[in-house]
Amino acid sequence: MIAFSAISAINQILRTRDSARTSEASLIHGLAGLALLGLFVASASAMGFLTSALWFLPAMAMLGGERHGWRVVLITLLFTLLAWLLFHLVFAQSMPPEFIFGEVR
Amino acid sequence: MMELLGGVMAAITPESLLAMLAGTAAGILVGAIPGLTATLAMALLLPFTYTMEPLTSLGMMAGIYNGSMYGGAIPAILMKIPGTPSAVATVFDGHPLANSGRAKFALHVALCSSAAGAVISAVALMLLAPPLVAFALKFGPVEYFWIAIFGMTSVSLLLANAPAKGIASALLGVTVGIVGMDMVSGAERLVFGIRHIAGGINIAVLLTGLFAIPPALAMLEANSRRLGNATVTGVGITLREALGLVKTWLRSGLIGVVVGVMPGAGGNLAGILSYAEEKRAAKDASRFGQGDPRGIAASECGNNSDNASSLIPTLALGVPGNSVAALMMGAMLIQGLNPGPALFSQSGEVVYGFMWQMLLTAFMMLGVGFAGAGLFARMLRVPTGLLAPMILVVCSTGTYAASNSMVDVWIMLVVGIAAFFLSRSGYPIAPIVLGAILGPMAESSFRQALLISRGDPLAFAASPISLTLIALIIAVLLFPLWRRWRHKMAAA
Repeated sequence: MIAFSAISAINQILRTRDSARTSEASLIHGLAGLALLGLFVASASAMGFLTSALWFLPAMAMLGGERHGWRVVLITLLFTLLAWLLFHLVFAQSMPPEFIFGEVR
Repeated sequence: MMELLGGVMAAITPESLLAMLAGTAAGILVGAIPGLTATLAMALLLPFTYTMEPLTSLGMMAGIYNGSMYGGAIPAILMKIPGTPSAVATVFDGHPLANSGRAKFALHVALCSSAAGAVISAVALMLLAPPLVAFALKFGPVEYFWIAIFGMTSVSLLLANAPAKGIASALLGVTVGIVGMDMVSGAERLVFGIRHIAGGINIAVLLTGLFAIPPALAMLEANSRRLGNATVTGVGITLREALGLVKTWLRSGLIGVVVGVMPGAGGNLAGILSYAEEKRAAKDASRFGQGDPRGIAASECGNNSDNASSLIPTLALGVPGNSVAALMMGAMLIQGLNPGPALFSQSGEVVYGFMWQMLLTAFMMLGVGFAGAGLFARMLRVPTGLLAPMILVVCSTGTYAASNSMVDVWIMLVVGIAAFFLSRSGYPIAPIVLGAILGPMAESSFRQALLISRGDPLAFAASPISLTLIALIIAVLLFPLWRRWRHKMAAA
């Protein structure tokens, strides 16, 4: 039954048209978003989450249709700084080494 | 009774109060932004709860749950866009009232009604969960096996538009749930050489991938449909006007509690049913749909009174009835707390403390809601195209922080990709989580029952409780067929 469920799900996914469900992301936006997220995770392994957030946030914002450049830059910097403070000071979590921010722990 | 009182002291520590307050404010903010839901906020928080005290993490969760239900009413009233699915019926009368210059009054009606619903629901949780636990102590492995099957079947069939898709989702969840070492033989199952998952897939990773990634991607889409400015106009509610809604609250509260206990039903059903019942019971129903405050009160009280009551089967039996309950259960499992009858005797202070937190956050919601009405309305202007990547960064970082492992982040990504394609194709996500939680429970109960009965299959239908559960499962399985037959008859 599990195998049949998996086959049925894959079959349905392949047959689903773009406009099938309006509450979900469109196929283009979704695939591009997932590709960027995959790159972000790969990049985070190499140069840390916060450093990677510096390119990931503007890239995703552009994909989401955000066109106010200064706002994107400002929010990206503020968010990254806030995240650094949160993980460094509040949670004291050990994270992968950061390319820009150094060791976060 | 003593345990219940002991829970108050545990719930009112400074850490717990602060967590509840932060959770309530965050919940209202999340609910106020269309596209963000309680499940998303709780999924984001989950990986960070490893280092928290049990009542700190549960208090935050309780605040998010209650707060987000009210938050969903804000865009429903001001913009005609329900912030959460549960606020659909709030639009009917909330938006006409806002259009007539009484937005502040409409928001206050929604706030008071949400708080009333949350109080009714928390009281129902306190009153109904302990007797259910006393009853559940009579259950053996056979009964737990059938309860797990009933939980998966009912939620899968009731949540999906197509029953087969619901069942398929639940079975995919069972597959994920059985990954790791077999508890009896010690053999590895579905590990495929990945040592990291030999102990099973981390529930927080699964929940984050399922409930955070697809909504975040959907928000990229929402950014292109930018919302306009919303203003809070007019005067607020008076005490006399609020007292005039008490009857509505009691009626809708009762509906919400009953709907909450039912597996697979949710706040949206509670809100719509309460609205319909209020309209039916009204002497003059002509004002409904044109800005009648009773419409807002019924919808908001109904969807909030579903909250704590939906946790009754989770706490008492260990069977979550919806995705939020599954997330709450995930938060408890992370803390080493196994929901079920044993939890009440082993960690009574935490369980009863959590019940009080569900009650206290209802009152906090009133304070935060009244104080921050203007701020929450301004949240509608937040560009979701910027929020989406922040959510994805937080859930990736949180997942890493939970186990200090990039493998978990990759697993979260894979789960998120699967969830994106499945939800686009109409497969409900909640049954996947229920399958992952209840599948292993059903398996271990099944094996225990066979060992105790020395392999006698008739043991599975020997007790009246088992027979009742089997009858319920058959009824749930036949329900879609009956529904289809009724539609055919109506069309003919």
